[in-house]
Amino acid sequence: MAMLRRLSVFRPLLFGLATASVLDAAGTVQVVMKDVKGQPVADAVASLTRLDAPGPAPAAPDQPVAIVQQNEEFRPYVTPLVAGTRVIFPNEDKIQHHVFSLSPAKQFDIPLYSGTPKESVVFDQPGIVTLGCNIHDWMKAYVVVLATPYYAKAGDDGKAAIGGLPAGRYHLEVWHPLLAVNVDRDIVIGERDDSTQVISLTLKPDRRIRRAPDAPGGGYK
Amino acid sequence: MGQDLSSSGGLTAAWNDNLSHSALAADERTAEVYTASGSFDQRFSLTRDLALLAGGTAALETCPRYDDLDRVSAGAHAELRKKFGLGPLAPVLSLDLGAGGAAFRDSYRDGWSADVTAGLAKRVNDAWRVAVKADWSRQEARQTVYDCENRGLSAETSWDVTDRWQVALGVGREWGQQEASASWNAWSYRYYGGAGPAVANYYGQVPYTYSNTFGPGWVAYRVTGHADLGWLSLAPALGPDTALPLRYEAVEVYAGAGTRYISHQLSLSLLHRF
Repeated sequence: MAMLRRLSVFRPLLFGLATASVLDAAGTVQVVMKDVKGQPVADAVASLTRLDAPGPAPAAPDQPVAIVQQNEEFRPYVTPLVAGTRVIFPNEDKIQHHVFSLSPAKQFDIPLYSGTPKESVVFDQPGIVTLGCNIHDWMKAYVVVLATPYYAKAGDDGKAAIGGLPAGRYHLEVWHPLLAVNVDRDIVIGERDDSTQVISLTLKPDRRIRRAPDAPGGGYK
Repeated sequence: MGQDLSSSGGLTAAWNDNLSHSALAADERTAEVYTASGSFDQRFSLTRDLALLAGGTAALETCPRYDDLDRVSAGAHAELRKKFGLGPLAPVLSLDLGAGGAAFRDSYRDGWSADVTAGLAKRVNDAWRVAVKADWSRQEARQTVYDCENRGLSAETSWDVTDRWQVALGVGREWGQQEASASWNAWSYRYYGGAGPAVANYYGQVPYTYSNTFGPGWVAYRVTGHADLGWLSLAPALGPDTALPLRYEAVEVYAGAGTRYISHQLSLSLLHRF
């Protein structure tokens, strides 16, 4: 009985130590993304898919992710999330927007609203979803729907850190809206690894629909 | 039914090499015209893909060299806009009804106008857009020589070379009535048979009035025929809501009895959407 009591005291400690050892054993990969001129590339999404063991099914967060319309643009421009995540589209402009997508991974439209619509959209299939506004042609954003919980988006410095990685073999993929040449490679993560992957991205020119006023039409006076 | 209000303003400086619309080279009068304008539109979304835009415009125009042409104008319009599908590549069909009035320094030119325009526009891809239009317009002035009615067809394509630079090219033709002017010498030569009986007969039938707009003793008259138009513009974006288009337009008018005149206009505008 005394031994059982001692074990019960130690059980939380043992569990904590076990958890700590798993976390300590987790690796981190810093993905540094640059263009061919060596300039950092923002908004690129790096994801890692486990190859040597079935990875855990990623759990969608309880809280929805927000993609905001602000100053007649979507913010953020690129949103990575796991399949099953709910997304809301708050409109912070004084004018209405009509958010839609024709992408195979998720087709929907939320016509003409102000404020935050009651309906949210569940992105349930992995893939790239392009968002637009049916009134303001220049508005564009992307949702990257992933089947892995291991992903990160690069900031303005072009760096994306993916942590909590169990040791093993992974397939690294990088996506960017302007990516001209696919980038992917297999990497190995060891226990407590803290490695860096430098990726050079070949990008297409950033061609977005003109937002500035057009020249007035012709006509004889 | 949702509604949205948008507004814009612009300043334009234009140089025209034949503002007098004269058929004789010696009569052609060159001048600068400056315009300040503003407009607003209230958008009413009737259904998911049908919108009504109702709005107004106002403009102040001045021609320092020939100030009879100074004017203030205002108008209203209502446009039905139907989009066939979702997204920027969906074609858009529009029908616009407009009406307005203008007051000139030369009050004989004061009057009202009405116009109807049907248009079809389609963005081909992120860079290219094409549009065709058919229009009818009617202008009624205090003096009937300045009345005119026209029907027109035009087509335009625009190319967004980069995010910042846009090039547009358009052509059109208008059928109907045009105002022209001639010095007394040029007018009387044709009117009194100096160019032959056919020309004299034609000029004897066109409405005309004496007008000092382009010089003492000049004659303003109205011809019927057609005008061919062409324009080319280069429009850099100064910001997300501001552009500075530079535009060249050429108009060639063909009327009865061999009457023909050409004008070229170069203009620079500053446009801003609020």
